[in-house]
Amino acid sequence: MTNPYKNAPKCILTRLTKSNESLESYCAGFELSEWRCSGLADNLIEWIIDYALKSDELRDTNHTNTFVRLKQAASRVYTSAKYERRGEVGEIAAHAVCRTYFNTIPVAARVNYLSASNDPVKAFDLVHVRYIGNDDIELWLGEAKFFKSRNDAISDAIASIKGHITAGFLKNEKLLLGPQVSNDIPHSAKIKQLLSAEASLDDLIASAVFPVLIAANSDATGSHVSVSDNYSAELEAEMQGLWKKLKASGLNEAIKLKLIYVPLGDKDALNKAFDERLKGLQIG
Amino acid sequence: MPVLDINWKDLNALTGSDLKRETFRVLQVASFAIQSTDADDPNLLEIVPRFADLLDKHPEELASYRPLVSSLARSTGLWNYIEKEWADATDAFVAEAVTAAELGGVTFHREQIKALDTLLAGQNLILSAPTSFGKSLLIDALLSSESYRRVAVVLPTIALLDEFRRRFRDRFSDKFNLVMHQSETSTDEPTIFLGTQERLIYREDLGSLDLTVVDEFYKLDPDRRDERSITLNAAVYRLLKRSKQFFFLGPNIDKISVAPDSRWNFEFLRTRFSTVAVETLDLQGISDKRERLIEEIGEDRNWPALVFISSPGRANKLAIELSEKMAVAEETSDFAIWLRDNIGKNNFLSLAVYYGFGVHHGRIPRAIAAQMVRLFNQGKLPILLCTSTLIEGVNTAAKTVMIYDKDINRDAYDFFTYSNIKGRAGRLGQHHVGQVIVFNDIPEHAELEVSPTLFSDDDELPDEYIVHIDKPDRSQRSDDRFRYYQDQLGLEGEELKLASSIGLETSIAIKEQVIRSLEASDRLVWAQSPKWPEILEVCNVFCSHHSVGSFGAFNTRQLATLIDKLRKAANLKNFLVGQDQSYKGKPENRDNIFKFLRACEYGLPQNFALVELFVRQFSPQADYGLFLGGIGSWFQPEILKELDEEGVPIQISQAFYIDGDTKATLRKRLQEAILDPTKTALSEFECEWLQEAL
Repeated sequence: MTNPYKNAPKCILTRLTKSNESLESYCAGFELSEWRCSGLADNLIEWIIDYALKSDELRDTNHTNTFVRLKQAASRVYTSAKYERRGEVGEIAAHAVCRTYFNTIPVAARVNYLSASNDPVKAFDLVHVRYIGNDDIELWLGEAKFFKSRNDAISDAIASIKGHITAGFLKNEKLLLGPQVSNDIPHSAKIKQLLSAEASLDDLIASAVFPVLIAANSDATGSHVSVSDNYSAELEAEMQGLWKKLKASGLNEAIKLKLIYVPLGDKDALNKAFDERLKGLQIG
Repeated sequence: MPVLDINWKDLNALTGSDLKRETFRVLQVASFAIQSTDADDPNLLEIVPRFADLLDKHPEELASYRPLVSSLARSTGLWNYIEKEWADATDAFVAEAVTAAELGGVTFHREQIKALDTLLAGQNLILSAPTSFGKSLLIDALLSSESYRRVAVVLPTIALLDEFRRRFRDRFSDKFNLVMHQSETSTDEPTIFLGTQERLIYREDLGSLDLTVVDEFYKLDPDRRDERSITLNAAVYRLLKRSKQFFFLGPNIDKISVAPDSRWNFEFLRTRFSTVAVETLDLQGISDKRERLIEEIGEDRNWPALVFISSPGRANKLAIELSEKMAVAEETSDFAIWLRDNIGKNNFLSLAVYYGFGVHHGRIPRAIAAQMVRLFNQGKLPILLCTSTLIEGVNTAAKTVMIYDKDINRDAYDFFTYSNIKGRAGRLGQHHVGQVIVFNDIPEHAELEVSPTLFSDDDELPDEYIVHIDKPDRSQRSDDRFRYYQDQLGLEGEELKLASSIGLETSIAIKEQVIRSLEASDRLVWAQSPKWPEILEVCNVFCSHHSVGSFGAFNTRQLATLIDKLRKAANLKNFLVGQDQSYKGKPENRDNIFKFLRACEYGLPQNFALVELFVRQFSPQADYGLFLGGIGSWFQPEILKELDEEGVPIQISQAFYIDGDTKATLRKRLQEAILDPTKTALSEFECEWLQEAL
């Protein structure tokens, strides 16, 4: 068997700001002097199945098995009125960036915790693990926002995370519901062990990284026609603005935040392009 | 392995916050267990159907937990439990990805997809999985995949044949021709051959096959005490030689033994993946078991319940006793009246049904047995008393299985059989949590290894099987055995195969008996219609080596009389009612007459045919042909018997039959009769029955 995570699509989002533990910016770049909207939409579609599947479920299904219809399912789920659209674009982008640049692997769809009213609450859009050195793992719990306005996006992200923290996410009962971690990945036994007991899960969450992905319209992206130092500098400024708001929230005193800023030339155009492609998947 | 000892009874009894908190805690334990147990660990898997049951019982209080239970279903691989309307989009995505619109929107689970991976890649597969796994669905998936044009499906019982026939008809009538009866022949069109081993082995129109499916394949093992095993192996051997791929399915088998030089390659997929949970109630320690059984039968919380009894006679006795003690149904009087009028007023079946007790075993006439199962599945007959017919895969929707007897065919059942009986409790989508009530020892867990004759070493092949092997495949040893019997019996090819179905040594003894009889008289030398003494003489010859009881009679004179009467009866109804009136034996053996009718279909024709072969070696003028053509269908037109197998009781169809009818014309007439019951003698109940059957 081979590592089911070995093959992943290429990610066209590339880092345009200097490497930093807490804040980085990833952009789709430009094509024919315009922000690469359709290229990004194509790329998100390529990632959709990797994003939707957890562990190795359905990954090694052979192509002759006509009863596994991933593309149609993606199309049905993400375009039908039955399933509420909740900004998958941001979630897929967050997934792709973490998988590509931080070598994480997905383990569950959501993390759940018990609220004061004894109802379960779903938190975070991304639950990945990342190897630290050779035999340790780190849990990544991500929040993704896909908005027109950067300010709205960051406020919403802060509100979401704050909501979970005050509702007792850090101290209440928690669970991660994902398929069994594949035996075919390095250190699978260790990862399974860490995910199979309350004490170690609490430890993992105590030292978790909380990536916050903000995908929103950027003034810089709208006013440039190619990637340049100037462009990067303007992005840096936009990103610092977001980071300032994050810091002001006081959240980073409780948890380890990591800002991932994805500037968009036109959020609505990207959404439209993505939707059209999803509908087209029906035939595939 | 973490402790998954969840007390579901206590959990179910909680309310409000306590219920929610405890539900969360159990989900948490389950989520940890996913990473620390085997992926098909039954203790982990059963949590999902248990939760489905819990959600059904506390829909409002646990509404917020629904998406979480779907997440659990996704994570355990029980994808068919994901509720798309409640689930998180990403969990719904998995369910959508494995939902087949062409199969009525059914959602596969992880292990079904795994099996389909192997099969659709063209590999041979032997699948061992629990009863509730959903094995039949895989066959349907293959048929709908467009990868197979000619398919043979071997099933152990005619009841199952009819179940499959209906399913295939509903799903694939526009894609495949279905060939089941000897009267039908296949064309070049896409075809499904459906049959028991005894039927498929004689088919000449199989051509080349894309796929051979063998259900309940453990019956290939001669040690499973099934006298039909040789014929099954021979039929499967014949099919596999023409087939590009095979798929065997069965329950709870741990190993397959194959001779080292065997030419058969296959993947063996063994899984404990079950889609329902089972609660066991152990009543071994009860002092008065019968009293307690009757008590449990009367409890409506156990319904619909199957009661496992070791033999038809004992099942009948219990049915009689129950009818005297209580009534558990109100909607069965029309069926009871029909039975009274059509099989005889003294027969206990009619009263049993009237009070709500169905009986299902190998003697019951097929269309009547099918009606019992139908009424049971509709909830009108809350109790069904069964013998091993229950584990031959008649699909029932039972909530409870009561295992009252510990024997099966006079032996204590083993762990394998026990598991299969137990597996009948609960049904996906209807009873998430089944219940098993055990009255005797639970057999120790034991591994079952299946050794199909056709995969065995040549030295181990029984002679009866050897006569079915083609010459190029016979070793020197088997060829010698083959020729020995050829010489001893003076029979060739197909004739030798007939002798093998009766037993080769038995056939030699019968031949000697024929010679003795011919020396004494010429009673065996008849043609066309035999007289009573001539029938008796044939019966005497073969019953010198068979128990006459196996043909449903207590001596050969009675057997000859029954055959003679059946032959002269105006119709089957009169025959049965007449027999019912003259019967003087024990009440629970009243249905011996049904046993006789079964023997007419299989057993008697083979023996008569064999005797004829031997007689003709000395007196070629003997000709049993006409008689042999009649006995297999009770001396009635063949199509009436075919319809009976398809659920239309011969008592009804006979009244509509006109000489020269084909099955199609008769079906049409019956259908017209249903539409206009005023013009016919059909009761409302008979109309309903026909409607369901047709």
